[in-house]
Formats: sequence, C-alpha cells, structure tokens
Amino acid sequence: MFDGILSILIFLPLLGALFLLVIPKNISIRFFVLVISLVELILSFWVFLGYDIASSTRFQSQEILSWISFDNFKISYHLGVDGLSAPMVLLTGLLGFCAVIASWKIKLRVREYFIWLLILQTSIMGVFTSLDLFLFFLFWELELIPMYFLISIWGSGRKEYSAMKFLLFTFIGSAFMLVAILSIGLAAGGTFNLVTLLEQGIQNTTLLLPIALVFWFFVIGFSIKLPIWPVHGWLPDAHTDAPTAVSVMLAGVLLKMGGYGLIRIVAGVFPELIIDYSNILAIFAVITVIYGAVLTLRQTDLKRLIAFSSVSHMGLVLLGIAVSVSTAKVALGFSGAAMQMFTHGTITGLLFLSVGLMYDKLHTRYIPDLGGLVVRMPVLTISFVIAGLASLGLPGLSGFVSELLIFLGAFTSFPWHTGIAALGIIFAAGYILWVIQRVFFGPEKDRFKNVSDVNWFEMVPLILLVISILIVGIFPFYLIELFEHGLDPIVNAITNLGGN
Amino acid sequence: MTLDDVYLILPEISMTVLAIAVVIVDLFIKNKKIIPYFVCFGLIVPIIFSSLLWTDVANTETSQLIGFWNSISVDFFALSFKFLTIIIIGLVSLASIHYLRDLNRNHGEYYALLLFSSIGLMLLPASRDLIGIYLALELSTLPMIILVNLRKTALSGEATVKFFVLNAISSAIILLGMVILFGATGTTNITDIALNLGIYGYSSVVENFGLLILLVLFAVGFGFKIGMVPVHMWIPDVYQAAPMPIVSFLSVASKAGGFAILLVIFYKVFGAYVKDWSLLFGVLSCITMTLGNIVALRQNDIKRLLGYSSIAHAGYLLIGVAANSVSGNDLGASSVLFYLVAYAATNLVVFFILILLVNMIGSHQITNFGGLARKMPWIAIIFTVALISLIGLPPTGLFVGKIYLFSAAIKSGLTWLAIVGVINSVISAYYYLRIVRVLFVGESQIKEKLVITPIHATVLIIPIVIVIFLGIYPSPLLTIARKAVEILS
Repeated sequence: MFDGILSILIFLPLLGALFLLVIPKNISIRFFVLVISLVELILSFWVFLGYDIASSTRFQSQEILSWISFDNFKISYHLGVDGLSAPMVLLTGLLGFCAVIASWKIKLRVREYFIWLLILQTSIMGVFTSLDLFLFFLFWELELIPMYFLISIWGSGRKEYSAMKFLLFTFIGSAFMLVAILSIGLAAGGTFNLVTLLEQGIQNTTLLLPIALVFWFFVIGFSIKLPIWPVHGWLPDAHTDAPTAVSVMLAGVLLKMGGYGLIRIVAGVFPELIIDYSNILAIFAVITVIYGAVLTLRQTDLKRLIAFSSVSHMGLVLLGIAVSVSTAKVALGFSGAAMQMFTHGTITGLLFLSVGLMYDKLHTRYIPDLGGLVVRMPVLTISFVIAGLASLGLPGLSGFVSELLIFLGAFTSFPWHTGIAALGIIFAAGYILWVIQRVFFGPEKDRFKNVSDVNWFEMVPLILLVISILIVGIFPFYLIELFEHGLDPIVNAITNLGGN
Repeated sequence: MTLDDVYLILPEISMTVLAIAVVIVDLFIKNKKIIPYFVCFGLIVPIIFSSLLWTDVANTETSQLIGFWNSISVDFFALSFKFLTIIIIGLVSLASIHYLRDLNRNHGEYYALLLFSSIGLMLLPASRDLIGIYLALELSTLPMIILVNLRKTALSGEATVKFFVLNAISSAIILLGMVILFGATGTTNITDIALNLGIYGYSSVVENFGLLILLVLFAVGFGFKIGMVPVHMWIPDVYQAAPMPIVSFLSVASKAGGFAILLVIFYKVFGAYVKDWSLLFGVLSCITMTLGNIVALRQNDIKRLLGYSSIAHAGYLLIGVAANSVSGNDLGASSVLFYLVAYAATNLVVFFILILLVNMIGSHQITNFGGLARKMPWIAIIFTVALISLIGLPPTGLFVGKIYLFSAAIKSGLTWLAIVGVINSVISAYYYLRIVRVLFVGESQIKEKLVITPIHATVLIIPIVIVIFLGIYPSPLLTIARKAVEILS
C-alpha cells in the first residue's frame, strides 16, 4: 500500500461523479463508470493484500489531516485500515464493480443514476476507512442521500414508499448515534479520534450521560442498519423495490456497516458493557435468526425471499458478537461474525445479481410462475445454486466457515440460544432448496422457451463472486487470520476484563 | 458625544445615506433597473466602515469600543451581525430585480425600506440600552410591515394586519418588560441593570415573581421576531402572502437580528439566572421545533411549508440559546451564530430559486414543481443541496451547524433536548424529501425552460457555495463565532 491510497479509494468515485456532471454526451457514461469501478476494485484488492499481517501496527496506511479544530474540538480527517476493515474495503470494491455491470441495462436517466451510484461507493468506503468518529458519522449520513434517490427513482413497486422508509429508519438510528458520538467526543475532551478511544476506552467519570445509555444508543443505531428484529422493517421493502445493483450494494455492503459498527465501536469502545449485555443481545440475535428464517419460508417474491434471508443471516452476526460473555471463545465468535459479514456480502450479492438477471429476461420474480429454468439458463442456475448452497452453509463454500465459527464460539456460552439459532440453518436449507427446486428444476414452462442465458459480459460479476465464495470456502485461513489480527485488541480487552 | 462616537455608527449612517439616496435617485431616473446595482455598490461603503471597525476592535485590549454614553458597543459580536446583514441585503436586492421587474412599481421605496430595516438589524446587536434596543427593533420591523403588503392582494392584506397587530402586541410586551426592569433598577443601561439587579441578591428567579415575569416577557417579546411558538402565528400567513424576496429577508436577516438581541439581553441582563432561562428556552425550543416540523408535514403550499420549516429552525436555534447552563461554556451562543449563517445561506438559496420558479409556474403548490430536474437540472441540483442542508445531512453547512448545536446541548447537560432535536431532524427529512421527490420523480408539470440571467445565477451560486464550504471546512467561521461571543460572557 502506498500513502494516500485510502483517500484515492474514497474520492475517486466522487471525482468521477463530478466529472459525470459535465461529461460530454459522446463519451459513454457506462464505460467511464466501469473503468472507475475497476480501478476501485484493483485498489481495494491492493489494500486487502497490502495489509501487513505480520506487523504489530494495528491501523495501517493511516492518513491524518487536521480538519476542524478550534478550542477543544479536534476533528481530523483520519483514515486507516486494520484487519477488520481491509476485507470490508475489498467487499465494497468487489460489489461496487459488480453493481456497475448489473446496472448496464439502466435506460432511465443514466447519467444521474451513475452519479448517485458513485457517491454511494464514496460514502461506503468512507465509513469503512474513517478513524475519526465525526468523519465516520459524516460518511454514514452521506450514504442516505444516494440510496434515497436510487431507490425512489430507479426502483420498482412501491419505490417511493420504500425509499422513504429506508431513509427514516436509518435516520432515526443515526440520530441516536449522533447523540452517543457527541457525548463520548465531549467526554474525551473534544477529540473524536477512534484510535485513542479504542486504546484508552472511555473515562466513565467525564461522560455526561450514563455510559449504558451511550452504549445502547450505538447499539440501536447499528442494529437498525444490520438489521435486528424489531427494527428490521425497512429492509424487505427497500431490498425488494430497489434496482438490482442497489439491492446488491444494500444487502452486500450497507448491512455490513451495521455489523462493522457493532464490532468496531460497540465492542471496541465498550468492552465492559458488551460483556454485561451480551445476554440481551444474544436473545435479540436468536429472535432475528428465527424470525427472518420463518418469514423467508413464506415469501413468493424471489427478491423479498433473499431480503428476509438476509435478516436471518444478519442475526447470526449479532450472535457472534454476543458471545463475548465467554472469554474462552470470544475470538471465535468475533471472527465468525466478521467472516459472516464478508461471506454474506458475496453470497447475497450473487443471489441478488442472479435474480436481477433473471428478472431482466423473464420479467417476473413471482416464484409460482417460474420453473425449469435450468434448460435455458444453465449458467444462471449454476451461479444461483452455488450461492444458495453457500447460503445454507454447505461445507466447502464460504457460508459454512463463518457459520461454523459463530456456532462454535457461541455454543459454550449460549448452548440454548445456539441450539435454537441452528434451527435457522435448517430453515435456510428448506427455503433455499425449495426455491432452487421450484425455480430452476421441474418441468419447463412454455412461456420461457425463448429466453436466453446470460452473455459473457453479464457473467463477469457472477464468476468473480463465485470465485470468491469458493476461495473463502476452501482456503479461509488468510481471511480468518486477517480478521483475527484486526479483532485481537478487542478480544484481548474482553478477555482481560474476564467475563464469566 | 464626540466624533469618535459617530465613527462607531458610521456603517449605519452610511446605510441611511444610501437609503435616502436610493429614494432620490428613484425620482430622477427612468431606468429603474439601475437601482439594485446602485444599492449593491452603495453597500461597499458600510462594508468598508465595518471592516475598519473590525480592525480597530481587534486592536483594543477589551475587544470592544463603547460610545454614546455606554449605549452602543461595537465588538466582534455586533460586527459579525453587521456583515451578515449587509451581505444578505446585497443578495436580496439582486434577487429582487427579477421580482420587481414583473411588479413594475415602487422600486425606490422597496429598496429604501429594505435598507432601513437592515439599519435596525445592524444596530440591534450593538445596542446596550433599552431605549436603543427598542428603537432598533421597531426600525427593523416597521418597514417590513409595509413591504409585506407590497402586492396589495386580499391575502397580503390579511397577513399584513396579522403581522402588524402581533408585532404591536409583542412590542408592548417587550416595553412592559423594559418598564419593569427600569422600575426595578432605575436605569436603562444594560450593564447597570445587571449590576443593580444583582443588588437584590436573588440567586434564582423562583425567589421573586417579578423576575420570573421579566424572563417570560422578554422571551415572548423577542420570540415574535424569531418565530418562536407560541408567538409564531404570523409566520405562515406572511410567508404565504408577502413578496418572495421580502420573505427571504424576513426569514434570515430578521431572524438573525432577533437571535442577536435575545442573546444580548439574556446573557447580559439575566446572566445570573442562566439556569432558569436555560430551562425555559429548552422547553420553548422543544415545543417550537416539534410544532413547526409536525405542521409542516401536512403543507402542500411551498411557501407555507417553508414558513413552518422556519419555525422549526427557530426551535433548533433555541437549543443553542438554552445550552449554556455550565459556566464558561460558550458553545451555545457560538453555535447559534454558526447555525444562523449556515441557515441564512441555505434559506436564501431556497427562496431565490422560488422567486424564479413561482413566477414561471404561477403556483405555490409543491406538486406543480414536478419534472424540474428534467427541464432545469442545475436548478434542481442546487435546490436539492439546499434542502439536504435543511434536513441536516452532509456535506452541507447545516449538518455541521446541527452537530454543533447538539454538542452544545449535550455539554450543557441538556441531552434530552439534543435527542428531541435529532428526532425532529428525522421528521423534517420527510417533508423536505417530499419536495425533492417531486423535483426528480414527480409528474412533469413544467413545460418550458426558464432563461436565468447571469445576475440571478450569481445570487444562487454565492450562497450555495457558502453552504457547501461550511459543510466541508467550517473551521474559519467557527473561530469567528467563538471570537464573537466572547463579549457575551
């Protein structure tokens, strides 16, 4: 990695968006955006591979610039990656690239569409790389604007309703988060530096609010994004009504912002409290897993089905985080949660992409209408089946690794919870296999006689995601090591506090 | 009174000369289009005088120049408001060209009255004497009453009467407060009043009914100017009926003046009872923003919507007034200053766009703005940025402003108020985004493309650049705001 790579990563899409505003008509907007997202992918891969796992420096490739500084407020433009955020950066780059290809067929107001998509990429990259709470919050909020437009203009169904619902839910969460951020920033003497906060924790005495309240404000803010029952209401609507590429970004990366925040800030800054409250978190996690899975079973719209399955899988992330009550398995639970975020990003990304491509050709997502697609669409079938099997946790695919880690970690401290949550996997097997059977196999329907499979260009993102699912499934060690390196300080803090 | 004293109010004197000159010029020239440019060039003089005063103030040890027997204080606080008012009046004058061209009468009076009102607003934060404050207050409001009825429609007549009567009542309330203060302390000078009040030795207003009454009287009286609930009723009507440029002036300059004098009175006179009025304003702020936001949800007329939005923003600003109960914490006042500037820039953008559009569309209904993004993409983008700023999302000035306000509240132990504030921001997102939605995805209503004159483009671009600049690099203004409020403590 070279200095400034993170800034480039963040601001390249933004510059691209600004350039799109004034780009002459004769240059193809799509190719221009494709090049930008390809550069992003390469850069994010560079960040991922360039992260020095042997080094004892936790945050690498740091960039610090004093930004807003007066009196006792010291807000800096502070970027950096550690073992936790480097894979997230890669995920964002990867899915950002896939999203651009998935948007190739957009006809309506193309220029505007890609401007918002690029701004979205900027804000997500910013969230994963900022090491200043204020900067983090700025990018976190910035992401709302492009999402709102992308869903409400290019979506389908009740798109305006869904966009507004998404925005209001997230905004409420970030409202609580803002209060929490300000109170810990003020307690720390006006500095919002995450690195110092993570190293020193919070001086309880100087805090203006009860520390538990601050903790829960953060938990609420991130849980809405993750999402956790009972604040998941925005997710099915937003996922279903968003255009394909945006569903990919939403399910693949945006949800991970919630999990990232929970691990980075909630667990990192409040190790005592997460031990105290891990029981409650575990209960919510289990409810989310089961609730999501049960609702998935009864969906008839393919996109909605994947959306609800995301709820279920994100519950597992929270379960992994909640294991911190048991010191022995903290590392397992946390790496499992982080792994689940990464793998779910690629798996759901692939599922949404496949469904989006199917919808382009078949113009329906209603499961009872579909059937026997394997004859006409072998490639799409393979990619969907791989993603589906990974999603239900088939060994050898990436989903298995993360779920195994989470359950291993959680079992000793929460045997009952884990047992119940494991039912979610059975449900997952149920709905995935059922969908595969109903949609791809069975008798071929007449109305789909003339459909064609995906072309080579549309295949590129499918192949990329399938490869990443296979690699992570078969050789998960590098990724696990990376996560462990990043999570080590948090794990140590919790172990030292000696949960029970 | 010496010549030094006169020097202190040279910005105001030069403005007065300019206002009179405008009336005279108006008599003798045929081409009325020249007047706004004349005003803008004329404004350079008060800017120069204010800048000279700024350097003089910076050179003094106390950062304050006092004149007219302690009744005028020129300091960074007063000067920042002078600059703000002058810049706003300049922009509003340029934006009025478009509006007055269609009206085609009263050019001279229009600009002269605007200037007179600004003179009142410039004097307001500098006054340190009850009489001076009252005079400046009336000077700033009375010309507005005339301007609100510029069009002489039935609607504007009603709004004018409402405005006038409520203004008279609020002035009477303020006067009553001043009379009680004078009776209790025997002086009209603010510094002396504070000293004499201290002699009574009350530590809290609860110990004395008269003090409590005073706080309420002043809060309500000045609350009229800033659009605080329960004296906000004139705002929606006036916003709906008054000429757009006048509304833009009312919503930013008058509001800024109102907050300036509110801060001066409460910090300087009632500084000892900060705990009590902090709570009072906390409650008022909570009611004001909640009412403003909730009623705004149901508005279909964009001017009324902006009226309620301006009430809501008065509520946010009151958080900053309330947030100072910790001694030595001047975050509150400086956050008010910062927010006022960011809000002024944002609101000017919104109103200047409306000046263009309402005229073209001939309607104030939000739904009639549908399809703007297709016909005039740049205007739609600028409009959207301004609305995003009003919601308080990055990367805009009001995002930083809100965070600054809320952090002031949290630092003062008013966390509940900060929470109410952030929840209100969420509510407000709904109705601001409704406008954005109409602009981008609404049914196409706008048929033609408007030719935007370079002047109007300039008055749009200047404030929108300020909005974004404040969102990305707020430090310079924050530093000035901190410096300005030092005088209050």
